[in-house]
Amino acid sequence: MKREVLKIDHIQKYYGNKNNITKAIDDISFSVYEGEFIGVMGASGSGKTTLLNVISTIDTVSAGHIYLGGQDITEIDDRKLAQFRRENLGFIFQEFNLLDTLTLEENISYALTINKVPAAEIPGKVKHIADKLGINEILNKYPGEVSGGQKQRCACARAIVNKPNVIMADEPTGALDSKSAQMLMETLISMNEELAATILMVTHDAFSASYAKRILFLKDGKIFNEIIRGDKSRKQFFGEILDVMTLLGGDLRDVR
Amino acid sequence: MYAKLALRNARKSMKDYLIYIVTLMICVGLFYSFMSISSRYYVSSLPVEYDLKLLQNLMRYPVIGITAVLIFLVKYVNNYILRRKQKEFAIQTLLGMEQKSVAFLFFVETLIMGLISIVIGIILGAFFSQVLTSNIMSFFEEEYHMYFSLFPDTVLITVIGFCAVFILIGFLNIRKIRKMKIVDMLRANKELQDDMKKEFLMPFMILVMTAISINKVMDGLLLYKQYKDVMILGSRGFMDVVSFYGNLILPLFFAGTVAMYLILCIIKRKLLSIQKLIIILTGFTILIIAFALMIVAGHPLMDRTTTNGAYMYVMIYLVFFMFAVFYSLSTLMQIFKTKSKRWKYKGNTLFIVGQINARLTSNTRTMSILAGTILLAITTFIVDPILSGWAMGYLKERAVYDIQIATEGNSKTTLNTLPDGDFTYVEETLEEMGIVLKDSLKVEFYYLNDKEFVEGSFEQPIMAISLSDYNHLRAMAGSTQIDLKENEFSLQWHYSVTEEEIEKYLKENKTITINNENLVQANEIRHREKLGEAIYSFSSDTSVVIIIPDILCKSLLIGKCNYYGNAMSKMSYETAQEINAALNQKIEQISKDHQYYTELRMRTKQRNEGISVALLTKLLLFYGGIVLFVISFTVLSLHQLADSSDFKHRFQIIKKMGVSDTSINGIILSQMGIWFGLPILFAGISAIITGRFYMKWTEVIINTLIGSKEFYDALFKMMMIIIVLFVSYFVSTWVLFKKNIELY
Repeated sequence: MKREVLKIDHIQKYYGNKNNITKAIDDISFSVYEGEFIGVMGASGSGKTTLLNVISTIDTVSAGHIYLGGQDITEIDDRKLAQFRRENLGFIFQEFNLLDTLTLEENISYALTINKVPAAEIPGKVKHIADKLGINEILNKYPGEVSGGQKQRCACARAIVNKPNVIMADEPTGALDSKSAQMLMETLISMNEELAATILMVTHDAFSASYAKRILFLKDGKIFNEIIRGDKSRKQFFGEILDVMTLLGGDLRDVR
Repeated sequence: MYAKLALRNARKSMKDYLIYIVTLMICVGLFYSFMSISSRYYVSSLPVEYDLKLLQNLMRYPVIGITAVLIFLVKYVNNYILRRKQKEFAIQTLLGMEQKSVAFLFFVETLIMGLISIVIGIILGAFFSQVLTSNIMSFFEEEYHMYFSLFPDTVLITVIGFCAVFILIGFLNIRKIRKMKIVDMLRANKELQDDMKKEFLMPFMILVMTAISINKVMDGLLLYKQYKDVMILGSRGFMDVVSFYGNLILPLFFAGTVAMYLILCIIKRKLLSIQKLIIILTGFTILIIAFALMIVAGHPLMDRTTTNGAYMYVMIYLVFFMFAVFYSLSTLMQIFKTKSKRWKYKGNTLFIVGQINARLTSNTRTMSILAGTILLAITTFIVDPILSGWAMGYLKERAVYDIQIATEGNSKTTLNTLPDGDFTYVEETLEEMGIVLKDSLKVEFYYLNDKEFVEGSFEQPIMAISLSDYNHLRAMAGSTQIDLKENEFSLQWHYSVTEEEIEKYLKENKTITINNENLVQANEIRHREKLGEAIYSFSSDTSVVIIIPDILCKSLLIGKCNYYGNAMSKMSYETAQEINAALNQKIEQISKDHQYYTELRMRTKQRNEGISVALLTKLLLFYGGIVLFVISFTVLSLHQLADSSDFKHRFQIIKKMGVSDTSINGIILSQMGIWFGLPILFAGISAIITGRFYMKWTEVIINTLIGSKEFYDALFKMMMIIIVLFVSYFVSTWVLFKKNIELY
């Protein structure tokens, strides 16, 4: 049995006041194991972004516990949150979120410097990751000078370079064209398989989701369904996802 | 409907407008307070012998002139607001509002804000005006109690003036907004740094500096020829050789480097990047300044022309340095990033360097101009106490008696038309005017021997005064008496004579001979009592008067005759003016017959004019300096605030990456510190260099007329004002910045 990296234990998240409560997350529990590539799907307002935010320690839960690497993150002191985040989590965002003032190389090394990695080790580590993700040629360029797909691969490199417990990907293909999206998903797969990264990806795009190994479907703050790819081909899995989405009442527009 | 919308908009976007209002308030307040001094209603409780009309007349137009510079600032802040609001404009236009109405709405909004700031500014100005007045009163050595009042004419001119500016800028904005495309408005916030625009200023400056460097090489050669033999033998031989060759070779390198660059360009048939060239030239510039300063510091053998010439070079190269240093800074940072792995990967250096660099590349020229402006402002603040203190100190030196009249021979004077010492017309006139004298004195000054009078000569020799007359003069000026033995002489020196000059004179004149009688130097021979300037000959090399025993004076030839009078009661300014006119009329009649100079000085008039000039210098320099500071600090602060949406985005990213809040605070502080600090640092260093020189230049004046303690006190006060201004700008920018990027 693989190590349990992330454990979500009956969490709830409410918004609003006494008279008008919105349950963004309504009692969700699941576990993520080391080396997993898990997708979270759901329509707008299903609670997937809230889920991502509470796991990222950007938001707090109303009830329940989240264990990351054995530590209960709902109980961590506010002042230590930043440190916890940089040591345990890596992020990939829809809007890339690279620093436009730094080159791609610097963007990646900055993630290392804030983790206080010795200066001598940094160039090596950056090069290693850049080789793996095929962005070695463009390392000295600024984000404004490269394509969206290249930017997102750089963001992947930045997320994984610290070898975090979990990489959180929030709609990573949302701002990419279909060709770049496909390339990026392959990059994520190789990160998952070759670099043994644990990835938690939130998306509402069935195509991207079909690359994951397990998918959780959220609806109105609850887990509606869970499917596992197993030995199925990606095409089969894709069909399965579409079936669940139809059941979910998801609009066909969401399916692309 | 639109009016309502405009009002509501204005209220809602108060935060955006805060910086606009504060800047305008300061501008209005400053203008009002300085303008109020020249108001018709400006009543100061000055005693009768003073009159502020002269100062008021002289103040008005320069204040308006200096304020005109502030229009630039209003326009700048307006542009900043315009940029911030473009997205809003886009939404309004998309919703179907005509672009004309959008522009008009913005105009009304800014006008409302402008009016608010005029009102607050005038109240602020009224307070500030009182502070100024109490300062003015201290110049007249009068006490002053502050009170609050508004002057209608100043209020009117302030309101009309600033409204005119707002309306003018408003119309320019309306035109600008009407021409904008919606797409551009939507993108306004995301505008990336524009690529380095084609720069013409720097290449031009480099060419000019090359020409100047060649000129400096020529000067260096001349200098070398002139001093070579004497200097190398001197005790400072080695340093002098270094200094000479440095001053010769460095400018040559400067010009040579530029020539090499041009040749390379021709060979490669394309324009090469000037980035590295600028770095090299910046290095040479620093060295050239240092070596030129060695000449400025002076060598006992060098004359004034040489040191002053070297100083001119220092100033020119400093200006170039200020521009070049900002141009080369971003390139240097790039080099630093590639060369120094250790620093680069430490803490948040990478991020801060990125932040600064991104802003610097698109703002080099502004930064250099700002540094130059700050230098000008600091210099104004250094020069201010020197000039106003000089004027005041000089006044104390001159205006000692209520009336001083000096008569002295000139080139037309013959032995028969030497001053006769007839001052009966003075007493007659005073009597007619009803002025009662407390004390008066006629003083004769003698040639040491008859031969010293040379007919037709422009120059007068040093003359002698009798001990009793001298003591009487001292008594009238409120000083103690001096003693002199029968075979002694003493000397009364003008304030501007330096100790070295005195030493030299004393060495050359151990004794003096009058009518075959030898006089030796008295023990106390360095009298520097303030006895007015009339006792010294108008045209003699050294301003000194010889004091000799009365008995020796009898047989001497009178070359100069003065009249001194002190009135029983203080003379009002008007009376003094009348007496002055009446006496001058008489003097003119007399001079037709007698061929010698006559000079009339009245204390009331002297003090009025002297204080007015001193005050004018002080106030205008102060106003100018403050205006320059306000402009440069506001622009610096806006630079930080202008792109807060970009900044916010970046800080959000690094926060998500796990940078703690304390680190983020540290980053903000160091980023702002560098941004504000760099121009101030460069300006400060340059100001120290230039300031040192002014002080050296006016050393005598500072020591004798101002008093070095008083001068340094005044200088300290000025520096404190700068620091207070700087700190308040820095802190408010910091607070606003943190508010702007508030995370989550």
